[in-house]
Amino acid sequence: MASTSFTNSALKDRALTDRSLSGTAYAKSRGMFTSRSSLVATATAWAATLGRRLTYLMVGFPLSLAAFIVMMVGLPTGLGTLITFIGFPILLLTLSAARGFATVERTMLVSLVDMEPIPEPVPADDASAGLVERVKGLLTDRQSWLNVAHGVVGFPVSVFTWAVAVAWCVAAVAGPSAPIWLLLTSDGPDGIGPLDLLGAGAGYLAQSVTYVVIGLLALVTLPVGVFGAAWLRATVARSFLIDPVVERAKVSSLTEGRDAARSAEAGTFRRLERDIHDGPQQRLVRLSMDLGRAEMKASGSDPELKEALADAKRQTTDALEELRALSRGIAPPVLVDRGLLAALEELVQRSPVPTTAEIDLTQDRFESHVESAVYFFVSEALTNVAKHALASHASVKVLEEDGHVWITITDDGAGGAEFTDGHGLSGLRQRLRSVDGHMELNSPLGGPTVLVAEVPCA
Amino acid sequence: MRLIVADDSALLRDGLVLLLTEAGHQVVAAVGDGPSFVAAAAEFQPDCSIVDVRMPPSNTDEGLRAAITVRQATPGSRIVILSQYVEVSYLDDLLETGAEGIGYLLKDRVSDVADFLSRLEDVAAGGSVIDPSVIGQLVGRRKTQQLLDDLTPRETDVLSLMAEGRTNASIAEALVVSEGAVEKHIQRIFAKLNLSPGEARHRRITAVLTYLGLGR
Repeated sequence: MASTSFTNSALKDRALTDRSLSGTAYAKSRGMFTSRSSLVATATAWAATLGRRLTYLMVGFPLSLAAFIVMMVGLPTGLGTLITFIGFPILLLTLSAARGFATVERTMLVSLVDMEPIPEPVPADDASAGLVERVKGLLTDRQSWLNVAHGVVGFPVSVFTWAVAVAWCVAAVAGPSAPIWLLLTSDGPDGIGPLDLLGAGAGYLAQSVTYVVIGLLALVTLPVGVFGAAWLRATVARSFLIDPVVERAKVSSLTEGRDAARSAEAGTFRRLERDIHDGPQQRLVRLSMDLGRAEMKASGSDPELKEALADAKRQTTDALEELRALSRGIAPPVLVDRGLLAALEELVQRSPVPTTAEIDLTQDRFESHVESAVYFFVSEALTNVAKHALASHASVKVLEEDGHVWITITDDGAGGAEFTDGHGLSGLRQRLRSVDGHMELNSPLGGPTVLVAEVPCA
Repeated sequence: MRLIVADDSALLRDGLVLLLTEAGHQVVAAVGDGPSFVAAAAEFQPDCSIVDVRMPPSNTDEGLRAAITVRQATPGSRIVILSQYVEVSYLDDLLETGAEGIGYLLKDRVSDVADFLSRLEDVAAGGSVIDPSVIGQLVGRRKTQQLLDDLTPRETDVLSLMAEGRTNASIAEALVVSEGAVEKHIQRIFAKLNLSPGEARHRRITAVLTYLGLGR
């Protein structure tokens, strides 16, 4: 659920950024057929959007300047004096300031550039955590440093976009009003204007016409300039301040989703095993008991009846045997009821190839997906040994260390085992991958074969 | 015989009570969970109890633990564990309270009514009855018969006494030999049955089961 909503919001985000433009253009194209008031409304909306983009650029410039100064002063000072105790607080202050600037920038992106707000609060902004945690969070959070990077990189972008916007606006205002200010300037109509400096000396009229044409062009294309500049600034800001946060939230929600699915799956398997045990298995056992009783009562009667009853009983027993095998494959009862150690001992005992075991686990129970992964790995591996290895002896070592379960399975068989599609070993590898586990195989021709696997269990 | 039946499934409890009553036994209590069984066993002191493994409240190996509690409280209590699954590790725990008067059978075995009833009598008389599939699990394809043929008559005697759940001292007494001699016999039995020291935990049981499995 969470991951889908993220994808949606990311799409919406993009759509929203362009919404005002295309939306207004659409409204405008229809404008000529609609009433005057809606035309006015459209124009107002357009102007408001333009105004907000312009505000973004204009307010953004001093903000970026301030951020740039703080970063350029704070970062070298903090890092330079890190060896003395004073550098550390300076660094923390700089990171905090960068976070503050980033928050303001994000707010502007939402309110002035119509970007979708970040669905979750930025991680590590937790004010309820203790001081040490917050400091640690600030220093180790990747986003802290991305904020600083934006403070530095964002500045030239801001200067450029601000300059473009200002120049465009000036041209759009100054051009059309040229006939007036050319008259008002001290030199009068015959003075030296900017055009003269370019060597294209001309009279008042020529100058006025030129400026007005340029100015009108600038006025008509003003939205292009302002939207373009705002887009550029916003895109840079977004790539530092929004995308990484959204991306991280997406990854963590995917991970959460995967973990949830994994434990739900293990839980479902265990429930299924119980349901089989409490349902059909009980009924079949009762059926076999009743058939047994019937058989007792039929003793001395028709031999064909006795035969039929014995047959029915045999069928029932076979069905029970099949159900038991099925349950073992779904969720082995000994694993469910007594945990990994007992289940592994059972497996080793059951192994057709004589097998020794060394099992060292610090806990009785692990998360169900870990238990299942380890159990089925050992089970499949021993089955493989029996089927393919021509081994006379196998050994199973299961150790828990540093939050990992390490499994080593060795056999003295013919060797030459390899990962091929459809072969048991590939299945093992895939199974491990679903629990972030890994395996390695060393099987020279002539043996011995050593299979090592690792499953995270912390 | 006076019997107690403990199974959380009413279906199976009723089925068992019916079957046992028809066979002329008296079911003095039929209970559905571990603590009730412990209480009933203390109250009625039955000739034998038939206990399911998976029962409330824990719904795991409750019946097994209850059986062990009962045998610790009243040594020599006869108990047949019935289960949908037979697992070596369960048997292991059970045998820690001694092999005498112990049964561990798959529930399906009940359908062979005559056989089941006679095994019940065996356990009530102090014998050990272990499901063939456990033995199958333990000795697998290790050519049991052939292994047992290798034993000397004296070793077979020692093994049969081990199967009765006797200690080394008690075996020594019965055979009128020293305890050290018994220990040597046992080591030779282990060696002949291919039970390496690595399997220490199960060696004695495996040896006994190998014997019992063929004693059927």
